[in-house]
Amino acid sequence: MTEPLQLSIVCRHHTMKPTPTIRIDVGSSVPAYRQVANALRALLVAGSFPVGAPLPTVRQLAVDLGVHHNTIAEAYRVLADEGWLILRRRHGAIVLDRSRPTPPPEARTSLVQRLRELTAEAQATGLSPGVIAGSMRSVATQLTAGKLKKA
Amino acid sequence: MGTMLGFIVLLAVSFHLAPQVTRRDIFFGITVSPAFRDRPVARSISRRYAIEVWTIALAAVAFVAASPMPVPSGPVLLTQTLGACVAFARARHTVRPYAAAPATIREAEIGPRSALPGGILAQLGPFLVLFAAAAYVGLYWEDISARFPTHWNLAGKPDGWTAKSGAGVFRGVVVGFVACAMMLFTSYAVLHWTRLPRVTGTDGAQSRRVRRVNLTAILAAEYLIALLLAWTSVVSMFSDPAGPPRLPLPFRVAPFALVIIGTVAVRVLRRTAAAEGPPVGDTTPDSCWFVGGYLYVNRADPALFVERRTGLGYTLNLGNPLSWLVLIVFAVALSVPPLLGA
Repeated sequence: MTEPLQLSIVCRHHTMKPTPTIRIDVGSSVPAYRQVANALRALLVAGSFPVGAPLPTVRQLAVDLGVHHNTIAEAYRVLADEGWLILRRRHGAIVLDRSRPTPPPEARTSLVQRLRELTAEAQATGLSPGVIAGSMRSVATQLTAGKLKKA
Repeated sequence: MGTMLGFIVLLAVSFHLAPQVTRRDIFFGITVSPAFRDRPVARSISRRYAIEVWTIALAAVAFVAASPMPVPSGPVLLTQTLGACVAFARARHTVRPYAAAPATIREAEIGPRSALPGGILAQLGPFLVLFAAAAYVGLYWEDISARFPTHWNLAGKPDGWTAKSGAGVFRGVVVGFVACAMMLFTSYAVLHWTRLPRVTGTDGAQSRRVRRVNLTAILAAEYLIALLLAWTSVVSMFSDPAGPPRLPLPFRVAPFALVIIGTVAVRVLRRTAAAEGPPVGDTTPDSCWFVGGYLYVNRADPALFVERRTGLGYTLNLGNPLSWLVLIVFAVALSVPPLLGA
């Protein structure tokens, strides 16, 4: 089942650097730890945290989201396994310099499969194919624009 | 009598404003839809509560005015407080059928916490005041009166005395240190171990400002305690026993003024916010609030302190085992000063 990506970046003051925020839905069928991991991964991909920056402690983030500390610990473990973070006792989670890895052969197949499942889910809610395709084109455009900026 | 009447009015104003300083989705301690407050039924409940609060205040005023003898302030204000609590509980009971399920969305900022108001120097200020008072008393020990007042009534007249001794002289300063340390710990815990219900948009900015107001009020209370106890040390201990000074009016009024000002400030902040985006709910379910919404017990909530559902400030999450440790430490700390004189 595809997992909704929940991300919001807010700018508290027009001269201040935006403070990254994450948002989860504890009523969703997607496990909370996976929502947290997905949201943090999106921020890491977007470069919201400099390399070497510490993330909030497990207990701090657990208090902020109102979830058990094991939920946050699991999310951090997922991201550490993917190479985004290093977990150090007494230092918490530190952002790593994760250069773009070589994707495995099945990554693209998996992506296409997940996109098909996502569109089927969207159609089941009543959205028209045109709306779905337009939304996907918009996301793709933003993604490509981001790639061109880095280049 | 004028002082007593003034305090009755101040107390009534505090209770009148208490339900109005919570977020829009909390009404008399019950989670409701943000638009509920604007409905006629909600306005009717608020109106009835206000009438009951002021009726109780008027009854207290009438009792004090009609009494042929001076009335002790404690029982009158306590009775007024109990009456207001009953009025609140009645209003809460009336709101309960309109309770809404809390939203399941949770938000969190990924970044460092802001500092306590005023920074480290401002936070250490009350302790420096108390230390200076203790040093002054120690330096001029010989000049301290053999007997000096240590307690004043609402009218500012001394009604409790202590003989000169090490424990008697320094008890006030010790009480001040203990109280300020407890409040500093509370401020730190509020900043680091409580949750902002919303962090994005206008509501998020409002939540941060409200927390700032609460932390500033705690700091102001620390300074008030430190200055009061410094005054009792530096002024009253060296006063003429035949004519001890009255407790200055600012010290008697300041606690109530602090609560009123803080309440009004939060009330103004709450009115200027507008909900944006999907609802972001209080993570403290109605079922975990007891005693009319004053006690919070939720083992599943990792927070040590949570926002109160009425009035200003925060309350301990008694479902968190650490909260009991905090209570025990506070109780032990508060029992030290009285034992000094034993």
